[in-house]
Amino acid sequence: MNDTHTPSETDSIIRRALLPLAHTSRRFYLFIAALVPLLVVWGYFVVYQTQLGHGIGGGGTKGAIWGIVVANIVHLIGISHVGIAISATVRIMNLERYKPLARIAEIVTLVSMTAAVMNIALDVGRIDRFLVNILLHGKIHGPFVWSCTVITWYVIGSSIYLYLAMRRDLCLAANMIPKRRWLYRILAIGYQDTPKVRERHERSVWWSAVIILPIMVSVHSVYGYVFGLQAGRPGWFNPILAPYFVLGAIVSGFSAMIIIAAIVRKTFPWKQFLPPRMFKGLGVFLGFVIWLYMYFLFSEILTGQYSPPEADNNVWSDILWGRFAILTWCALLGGLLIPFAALFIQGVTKRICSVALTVTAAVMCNIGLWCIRYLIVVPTFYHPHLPYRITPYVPTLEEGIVMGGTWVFAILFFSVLLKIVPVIELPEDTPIRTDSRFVLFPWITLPGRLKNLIIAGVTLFSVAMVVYGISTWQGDYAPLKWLTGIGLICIVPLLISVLIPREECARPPSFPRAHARQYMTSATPWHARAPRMVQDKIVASPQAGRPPP
Amino acid sequence: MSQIERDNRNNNEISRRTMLQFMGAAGAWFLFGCEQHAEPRRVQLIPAGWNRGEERWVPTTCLQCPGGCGINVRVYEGRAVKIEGNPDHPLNLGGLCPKGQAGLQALYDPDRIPGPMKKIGGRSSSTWEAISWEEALATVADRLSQLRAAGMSESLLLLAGHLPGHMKAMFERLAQTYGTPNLVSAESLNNSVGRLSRFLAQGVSDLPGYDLDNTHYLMFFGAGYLEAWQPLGYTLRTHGRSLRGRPEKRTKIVVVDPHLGVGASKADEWIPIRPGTYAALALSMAYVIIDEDLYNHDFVANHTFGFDDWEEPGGQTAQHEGFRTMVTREYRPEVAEEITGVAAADIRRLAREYAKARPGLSVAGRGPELHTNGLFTQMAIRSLNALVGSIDVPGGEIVQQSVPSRQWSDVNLDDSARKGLAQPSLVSPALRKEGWPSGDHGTLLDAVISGQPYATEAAFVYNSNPLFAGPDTARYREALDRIPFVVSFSSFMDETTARADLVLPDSTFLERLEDDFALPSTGYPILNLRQPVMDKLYDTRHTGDVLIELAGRVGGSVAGSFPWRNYEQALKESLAAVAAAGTGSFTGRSAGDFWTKLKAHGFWSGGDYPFGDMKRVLKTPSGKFEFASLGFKEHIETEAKRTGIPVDALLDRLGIQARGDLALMPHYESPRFAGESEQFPLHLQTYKTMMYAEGRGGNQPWLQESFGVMFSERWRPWAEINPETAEHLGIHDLDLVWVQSDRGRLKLPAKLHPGIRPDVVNVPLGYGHTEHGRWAKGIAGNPHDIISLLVDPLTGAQAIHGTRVRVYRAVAPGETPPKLKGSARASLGNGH
Amino acid sequence: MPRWGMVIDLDRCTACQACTVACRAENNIPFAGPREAAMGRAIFWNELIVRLEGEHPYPEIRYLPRPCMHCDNSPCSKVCPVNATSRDDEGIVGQIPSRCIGCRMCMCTCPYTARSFNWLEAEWPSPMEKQHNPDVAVREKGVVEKCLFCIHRIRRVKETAREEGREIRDEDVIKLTACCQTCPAGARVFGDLDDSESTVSKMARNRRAFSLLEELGTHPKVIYLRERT
Repeated sequence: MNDTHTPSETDSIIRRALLPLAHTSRRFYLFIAALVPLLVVWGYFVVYQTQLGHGIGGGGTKGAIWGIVVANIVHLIGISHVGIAISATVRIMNLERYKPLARIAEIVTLVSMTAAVMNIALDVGRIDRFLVNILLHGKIHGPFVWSCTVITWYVIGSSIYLYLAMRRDLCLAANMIPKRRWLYRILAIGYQDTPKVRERHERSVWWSAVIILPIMVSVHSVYGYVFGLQAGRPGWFNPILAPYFVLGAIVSGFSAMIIIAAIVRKTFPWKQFLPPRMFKGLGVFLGFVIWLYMYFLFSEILTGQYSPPEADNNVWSDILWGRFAILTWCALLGGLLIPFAALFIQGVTKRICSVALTVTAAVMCNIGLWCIRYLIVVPTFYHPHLPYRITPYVPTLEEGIVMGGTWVFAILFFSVLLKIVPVIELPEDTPIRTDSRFVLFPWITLPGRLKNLIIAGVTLFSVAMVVYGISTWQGDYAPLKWLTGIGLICIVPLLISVLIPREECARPPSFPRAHARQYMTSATPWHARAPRMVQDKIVASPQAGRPPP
Repeated sequence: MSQIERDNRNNNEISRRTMLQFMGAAGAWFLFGCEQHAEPRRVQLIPAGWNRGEERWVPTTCLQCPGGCGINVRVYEGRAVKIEGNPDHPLNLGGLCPKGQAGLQALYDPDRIPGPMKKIGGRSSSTWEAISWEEALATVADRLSQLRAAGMSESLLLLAGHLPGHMKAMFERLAQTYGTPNLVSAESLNNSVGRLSRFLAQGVSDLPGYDLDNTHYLMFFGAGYLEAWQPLGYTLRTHGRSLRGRPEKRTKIVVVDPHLGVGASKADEWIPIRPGTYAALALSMAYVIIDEDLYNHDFVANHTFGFDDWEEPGGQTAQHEGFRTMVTREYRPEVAEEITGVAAADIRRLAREYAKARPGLSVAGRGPELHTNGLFTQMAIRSLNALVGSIDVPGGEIVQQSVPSRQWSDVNLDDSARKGLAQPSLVSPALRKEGWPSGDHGTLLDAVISGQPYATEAAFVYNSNPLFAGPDTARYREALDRIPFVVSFSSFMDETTARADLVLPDSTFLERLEDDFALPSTGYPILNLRQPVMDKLYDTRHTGDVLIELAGRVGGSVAGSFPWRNYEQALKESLAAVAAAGTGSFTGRSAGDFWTKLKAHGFWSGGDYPFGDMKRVLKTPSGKFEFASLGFKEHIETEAKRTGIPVDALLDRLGIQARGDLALMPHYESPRFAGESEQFPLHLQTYKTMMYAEGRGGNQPWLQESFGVMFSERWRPWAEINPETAEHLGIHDLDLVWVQSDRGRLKLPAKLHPGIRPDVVNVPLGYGHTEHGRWAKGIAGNPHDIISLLVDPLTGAQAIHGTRVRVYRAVAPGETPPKLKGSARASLGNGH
Repeated sequence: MPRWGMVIDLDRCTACQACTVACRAENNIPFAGPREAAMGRAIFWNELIVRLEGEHPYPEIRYLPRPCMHCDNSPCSKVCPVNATSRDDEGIVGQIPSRCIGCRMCMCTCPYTARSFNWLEAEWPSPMEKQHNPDVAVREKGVVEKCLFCIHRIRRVKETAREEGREIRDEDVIKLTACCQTCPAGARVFGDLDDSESTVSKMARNRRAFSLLEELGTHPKVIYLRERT
């Protein structure tokens, strides 16, 4: 973005950015109305399959131990990768151009993670015992427990990360959108728009980005291990799976990101925030990771076909030349090779900069990735080590509906979030003055000593909990212990940036209630009637206060 | 927990304890788990037996097949919960086959007949009305009395399957005193050919026993070894513990069959042979044995007749050809190779091995007797035993001793009884003679349907389900519908019962008190006791008691011949003799003492088998094993005299191709087949799998779910086809195909099987129930529906394997069968 | 401390499936019915596996009764997230259905596919539930189950031995499990592998002895004797 803004520009930028929060068209309600019935069907089948038997898992050897739902879980987890990947890189490398994308990405993460967890819960046989038993009896040697741990960590961490990065905009929203003020003043609780606070936020956000990136990697690695550690499964037992899954996550994540960005761009007047060159940039990166991914895939296939143990050979031959051949080659060509070619060409030629092309490639790539996940999960069940009578795997209706329903849920969740959260992160340098009085309890402060004490205490306690939990892993409730620790650790950056040391700012003047109510309820734009704040530390630029002509 | 609630609902009296004990079990399981994981602190195990209820083991006898294995039933809180083999029982020595294990599902079948019922609204209706035993018995008794009063007592048909122990005597007694010659039992119908062949060669007509514990070479002709070759418990036990278990000598097992079943796959060698040509193989083996002088000179010289050329014992000088001459002339292995498709070299090798490894056994399974040439085939196979002297020696073929039980007091027949008995039997075959089997399905059906020589007015069906298991089910249904009054004693609503007018349900074998004789196997007699292990589940009665009751109601001399209160009393009276004999596994000071001990042991078995008692095992006119059957000769001649037909014409009428001395001796006759090879190039063969359980297995889910072991097929039948044949016909594995004979067609999934001759299609028995409970119903595929009726005039036996079929893919229902490719016809039509 | 194991003589085995049915009868294993069975959902703690190969007229058929191998180095107990399955100090790989969450990880990881999943609520139309074995709990839907070497019978033997104040003898356990007890051919033997004099260890020393998928290093405690000496 250009460096200086006239107030009108700023205003229009802000207005456009916050548009979905301020106004809701009829289309949106129609959209929701269309989705809800599907969601109801889904809910019905969830009940059906938890109450009346486990419909998940179609026919197959021993009833297709794992099926498309697991493939879907892997895919969703993969997509969830993108949020942190993008926003963290944006922050760490300070890529201004992609900043508007960051928060969308974080929201995508949140949504797809929730959906994935939901799918896991629906895929296990006893959804009723699932969480309780994991927390109660969970044993550290189970990859499933690892995944639960890192997922929890990832979800809590990235949502706090999301919140921290969002507070300023929430505060802004509280100023800008009177009719939603009640909401945003709560969400932005205790935020003071002072340079110090901003600066502290940025620092903690930066650091948590640094911390969360490896967690993100671990999540996908763990999913690699869930498959890769199983010696009994021909085709799975494979050290390459962890990095392979991480790459897969990056690929599917970025392709998904491109698609979603395009949709958002079409829906809202955000062309300015999401310019074509951004898409091109994403496309280039996507092409690069696809290329890496194909490299991994190649080495895996080579190992599986060169002179592997018989069982693995059966699986891979079946995938490449057997009953899965068509699907495989469609996925490899249509999902990887062609998108790569397209993106490569776009990347190397200056002239081509087409959103449409990038998005098409992304769509193909994403679908292809889903198929590849299916090909990772299912074929091995056709080739157990012992010569069982094989019944081919046919997904059941329940499976299909649970899976589709999860997607419906995800879309719904995402679009609702779009209407609640300011998704476009406003450029740092827009010199706008936000009035902290619209925020709930803006004057909460505490002695700096106490703050440091609290933070130190929480940190120590959480680390202690983790250690305690892991050291007593044989006993019950061990996972509960270490998960508590992890949760608390994630809170630390929140505390750092939310708690405001008293030394930092003088207490703002008391504010007559009547006035307050008036401001809360007034629909007129803030800068028309907002009182000057003399004691406020904001150094506003001279033109800032003037109403637009 | 729902389990416990159900228990509460169902048996209130033990609900509390059941609940306790279920919770105990669950708890035990859980704690067992905790013990492992809550290291280091250990949870104490539940103290010994705190959750145990009243529990006992009842020794009794299995009836999942007629074999007669001893079982111990675990009864917990008054419900039978597990069946185990009886370790003391000489047949199975504690082992038990899957059918026996699944016996509980027969007892607890939810579709059992709860009590006597009466059909409402005609034959084919399926509405029943529950009636009291009083009414039911009255109805039957009235009908019987009426028939008797009308002097038509012979028009009562007693159709019985396996008759356990003294039930045979009961039915015979009823037939006699009531006055009907028509007691038709499985014993007289099944294996009739085998019995006849044995009768002609040895003069004894019961099924042979085989001393598998000591044999060193087992040559098995025809299907079923290890699957349905009775008694199963004995076969399985000996296979594992003797044939394969002996460290010093591992018996070689050779199975000769067009189809490789479980038995053949467990054997050392499988000889695929052209259907119906066993005799040629057996006789050319005899050729080699004789030619290379490998036969048992001692036995042949002393105990056989007709081996060398012989004169008429009457003193005429007419020189008759002997077995040796005939075989050396006719059955060189090269000739046999042409007929059987077995390489001459193999025949020679097998013959040598067989003759050298003594004692060797050649056994005719189910296969050989299911062709039109069954009789002479069986004779040929049997002659191999005689050649190596494996008759009544350890490891040879033996004659089962019978249980020394006393016959009941003689019956006194009144006039109507005599009059009825004088009538010809409905099952009399072309030739009838004392000791000969009393005929077969074919003749029976003809008689009933045609109403000649007299109409059948009433029928009892006991322990038999011909509408499913009998060959040619359609004609059985037709015949049954001709009979105005049909009473069934079945415990289950099987096909036959469903078309009956009245059901007097018997208890299942776990609720009965009756005796049973083990099928021929060990040689020495085995008396099995079957006693109720628990209270009856439903209002059922033992058929023995019912017969006694009926006799009483019919009154007169009939009542006089059944003086007992109930079947138990009759049994005690007869078994007292066994106690008196004072031999065997245990003896009783008194009859009562013996009875108590019998109840405690569950069986009684006689002493060791006396080998080499040739008087007992060879009862032919010559008193020897007859290669050339004098009995048959004399019989034919008398018949010829009686009817005035020249012998050759008579032979011709009997469907015997051979003439002169050859007709007296085992020889190969080319079998006849239904359907010409051009249109129907394949032979349809059926076989009994382990889970077939003589047609009883249908309502037992555990058997259904393990049905086709070789292909891991569950809950459905299939058609086995040779891959090469399938290729010709464009059929892939598990395609749906039509198997079509001239009688009809059957839709089955095809199973490509390298272990089957290219000209044979094999369909397992056991499916295609239209009744018999929720689990049996509605799974199509009963080969008996398409097997055409091919009767051997001599024995009246049906050639079940004599049906030719064609197979084609079932693309759409009712689509026209595709034309057969010329190459296919060439390669498939090479049978006959 | 005994180390329970089983030896199966494939040469004696008659492929009669008595072990299969006996196991289901002893352990209250429900039947699946035609539809579910066609989907491969029939539960067998002890299954008879068949390998059918070769061309006419020389087909090769091999039968393999397959209980749980109770591996000394069991992959399943490693991956179980809630320790519903684990190996006890007598070497038996146990399963606690009431704790299992049904993630089916153990089923995936078992090289012998010896584990089964309760896809649906088991059906026992009255009066069939009367045949339930009181010593074994019935499983609910949505949990994994497997062969336990008839652990309840082992406990009963221990109790009797304790009451009689003696050690467990070989003849107490040689036919202990339901499958061993029913085997008509006497092909299966159960016992203590650590006791070098027990029947199982004697048979396990046989030249014909081998164990399934040895290359995976799971160290099964079920040992087979090759067919055809």
